[in-house]
Amino acid sequence: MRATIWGCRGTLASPGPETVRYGGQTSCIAVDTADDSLLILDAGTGIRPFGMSLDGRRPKRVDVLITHLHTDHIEGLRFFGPFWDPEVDFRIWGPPAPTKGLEQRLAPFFSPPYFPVHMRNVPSRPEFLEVPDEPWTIGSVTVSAALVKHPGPAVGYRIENGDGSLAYLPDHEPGLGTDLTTIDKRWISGLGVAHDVDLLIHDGQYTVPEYNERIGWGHSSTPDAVTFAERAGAQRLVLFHHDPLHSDDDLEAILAEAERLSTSVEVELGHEGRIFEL
Amino acid sequence: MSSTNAAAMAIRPVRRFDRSSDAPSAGFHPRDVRHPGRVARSRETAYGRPVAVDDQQRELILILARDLTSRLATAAFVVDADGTLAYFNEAAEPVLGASYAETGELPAGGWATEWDPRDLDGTPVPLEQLPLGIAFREGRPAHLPLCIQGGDGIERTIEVTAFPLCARPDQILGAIAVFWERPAES
Repeated sequence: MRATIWGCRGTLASPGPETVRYGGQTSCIAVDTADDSLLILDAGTGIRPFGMSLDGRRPKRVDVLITHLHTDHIEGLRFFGPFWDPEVDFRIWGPPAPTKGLEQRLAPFFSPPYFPVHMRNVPSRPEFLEVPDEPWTIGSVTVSAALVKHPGPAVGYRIENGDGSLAYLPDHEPGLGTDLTTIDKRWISGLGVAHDVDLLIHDGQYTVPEYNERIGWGHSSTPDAVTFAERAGAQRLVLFHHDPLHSDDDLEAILAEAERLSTSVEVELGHEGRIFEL
Repeated sequence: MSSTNAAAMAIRPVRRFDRSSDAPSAGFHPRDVRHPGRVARSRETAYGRPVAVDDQQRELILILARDLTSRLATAAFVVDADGTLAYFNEAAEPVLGASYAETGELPAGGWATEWDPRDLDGTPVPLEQLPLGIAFREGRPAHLPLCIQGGDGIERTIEVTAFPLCARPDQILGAIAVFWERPAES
């Protein structure tokens, strides 16, 4: 299994000279499942260059796993080439909500006045699927999803095959109302999908001073990201969902702090183009 | 002091909490309910390999319920989809006469009898007629005054309101009961 980061910025795309090393595209990861299909985690603006990289290759099937419906996780979908291919079996997975279905919640964003084309006229005629309670199979991988702490319905994903596993929780505030260092593991949001994972891609948006002014916004501080990873028993932590105000130098200062705090997990910063072989 | 209040102040021997799964049952278990929806699945087989955490991962709704109730000054009691008493907060401790650290989690058959709930006439109230039982069985809020015997041996008269925790209309993931002690009658 190979995973490639196409976008790791949070909240808002932030291209510019201060973000060239880690990138300004919003959340998107492509998972190569070794068959003629595409598995994509989130559809931030990073999905557009990913689609362009296909260079005319037409997958038979595309599964986009959306963690939640905040704009930075769906805004690129409308500019993803295979979305407009009528021959593609296109499936969009997302979190269940208490009342409205996934299509009902997403469709307005893809319709006038926000977008000139109605969702019902999209050539691929995407199928909308709320993530099931139990693990399910997509191609050669098993996918699990669980609701996690973030404003509104949001899920984290776990993807695994016989070779390795990754967990993807780009928007997650497990430390909200909880002391992550002491509480029973069963009571930590997201741990069910992140336990013992080889690669944990996790929200690390804020420094501690920033977090203290943004408690409840749905994102993690550096210490909470590291503590979560260590309590999950992850092998490697990739800090993700970089704040749009953080320059490359700011991110490297965050990494240095994460490395200082870590006692058992390898830490790195997500950056566009990073490939993980699992 | 009225006779009711005198009874409420009666002190019985402190009891130990039965945390075993075969604790006395009131003949009802939330899993038995015939609710139009369904009780949430167990997470024990939810992953491709055995869950490495100590036990079952808690549903987010329960985690949020615990986070919320742990900060409330109102006594509260959180029950999971299996009917297990998953948590009660510090404000509940003086009412229940026990601490969560002491009791830990209690199976449905355990907590329903542990505090010996009775109606105001002294008749035992089975689990299915307790507010939490109604919240599970019928998927709606319920309220009832009860007499209980605390873990400290003291009888108390309390008001209990319970409501189901539904992430979706057809799925009960647990329930919360909030309760408070009735003021002493003059």
